[in-house]
Amino acid sequence: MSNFFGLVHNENVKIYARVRTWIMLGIIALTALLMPVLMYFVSDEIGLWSVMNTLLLFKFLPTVFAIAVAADSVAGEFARGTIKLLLIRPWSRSKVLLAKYLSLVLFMLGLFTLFTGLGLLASAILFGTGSASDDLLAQISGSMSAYFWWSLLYGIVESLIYMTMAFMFSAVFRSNSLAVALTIILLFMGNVITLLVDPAKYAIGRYLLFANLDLTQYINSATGQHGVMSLGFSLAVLAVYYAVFLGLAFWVFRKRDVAA
Amino acid sequence: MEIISDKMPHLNETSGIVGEPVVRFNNVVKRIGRKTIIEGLTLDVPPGQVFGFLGPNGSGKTTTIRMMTGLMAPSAGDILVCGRSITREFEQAISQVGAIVENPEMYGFLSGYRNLQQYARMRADVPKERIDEVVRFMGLEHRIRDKVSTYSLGMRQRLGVAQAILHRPKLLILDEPTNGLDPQGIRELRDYLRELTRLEGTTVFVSSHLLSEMELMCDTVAIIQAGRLIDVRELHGETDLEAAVEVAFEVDRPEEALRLFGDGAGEIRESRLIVKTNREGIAEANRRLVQAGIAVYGIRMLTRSLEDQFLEMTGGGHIV
Repeated sequence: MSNFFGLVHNENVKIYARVRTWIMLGIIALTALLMPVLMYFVSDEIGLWSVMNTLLLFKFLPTVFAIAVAADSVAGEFARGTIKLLLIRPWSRSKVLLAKYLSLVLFMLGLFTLFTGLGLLASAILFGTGSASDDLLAQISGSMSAYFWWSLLYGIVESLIYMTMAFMFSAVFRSNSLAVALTIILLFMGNVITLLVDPAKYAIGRYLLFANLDLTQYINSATGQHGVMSLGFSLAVLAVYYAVFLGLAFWVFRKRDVAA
Repeated sequence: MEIISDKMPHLNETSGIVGEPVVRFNNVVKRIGRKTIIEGLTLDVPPGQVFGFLGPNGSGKTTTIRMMTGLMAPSAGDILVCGRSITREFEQAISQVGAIVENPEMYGFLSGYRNLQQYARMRADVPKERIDEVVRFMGLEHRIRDKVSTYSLGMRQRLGVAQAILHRPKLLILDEPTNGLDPQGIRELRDYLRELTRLEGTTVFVSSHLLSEMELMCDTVAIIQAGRLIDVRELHGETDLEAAVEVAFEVDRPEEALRLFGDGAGEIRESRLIVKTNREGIAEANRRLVQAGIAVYGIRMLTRSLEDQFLEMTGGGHIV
């Protein structure tokens, strides 16, 4: 079974054989199941999609866990020294790294699927799947289900960018803690940076990653929260950053000597 | 009458049967920053041998192995493995290689078996039966389902060899393989490497800083110091008992002793009698000295052992 799928399978084994992965999955499952239960007891005038949109407040969980695993992906191999045994196989470094990246994307999508799936299941059992005619929020802001699915999709895009950033730091610095720290710092500093370099005032602010990461700003406004950008513009900016992150990761991983 | 085909190794008048070198270092240079780690290494490793790569700590052994396995790129020159360039044809070259670079680091959270599966999945030619065969061969069958984090260093070393030979490589590279092995384990490894070269024709490239170990294990030893190849020599299994060696007799009256053997028979150096003789001759000379009433305080062979030569060549074992 020496095809590329074997490499991705190897990476999956390395992710799911670890206890920490199952703790992450457990935390996400618990959150997705307990949030609807909590809302069931604290308010009654709501329906399924209001609950799901509230649950999305916790979308940082799958993102942070995906960052943690991505940051360890390359750096962990260097820390253990297993990188040496991994790279002396008849596979180019690019393919080894690509397999790692694909397994991470699958992991991140898996986290969001678990998060959404269990949330929907618990909400459907507690609130029913019928039209939420008594849902006040739904009556005010139109289709709550459409809003949820778009928010989820944009949340996954944001998560993918952060995860790719962590993966790049991991491959470039070969240090797990540095990769996690940098990515989490940027995750929390993003809004502050956008405030300081306000895209409405400074043109350069529009090209910063963080002003474009929250795509949900375009659900209700074509020009976004700053009134100067568009969904297409933001997607283009994100695509450039994404390509730079991946390009850097592959370039450094291919070039550098392995002295672990 | 046997028919010798083109594929058979050809005969070479000076050194018997030789084939294409399994590894060919072609003026390999490695610089890291301003420091030159390897200075123009040119060396052929003949097939079917246990080839020792000997040098003191910091002489560039591991750097050389990293370049042979493509983990590091040479600053200049090239390394051919089975005729393929490790830099330009990495995938073809490395597919013939099995290696442990430094310590055999494994995934501690996986069992030994699942670690081997990782490497088996990366090749088309390692069926499940081969994994089981290698596990049995390395004597790991009782603990192979346990997590590697619970293994002793010796067991990790065995698992390291297991992953290296899984795909029956033509070239097996072992970096300081006896580190952490007990004498029993060292012996087993030695026997095993011999068997591997004999039965499967594998070429084994072993690095070490311990000459005594190399002498027992290797057919040929290359000696490296401070990034330079100093010497390549073939080792012969047994020491020649018939060969004449210089022997120093420490006696109370050296002049008298010299006269006893005849003036041309030896010389006096640092008030010791030096004669050149073989093993039997030492016993005979000693008998004559004692019979002549000359007190013998000590007898020492002066021919430097390979170890002395190694120490001398490598500057007394200083870390350079």
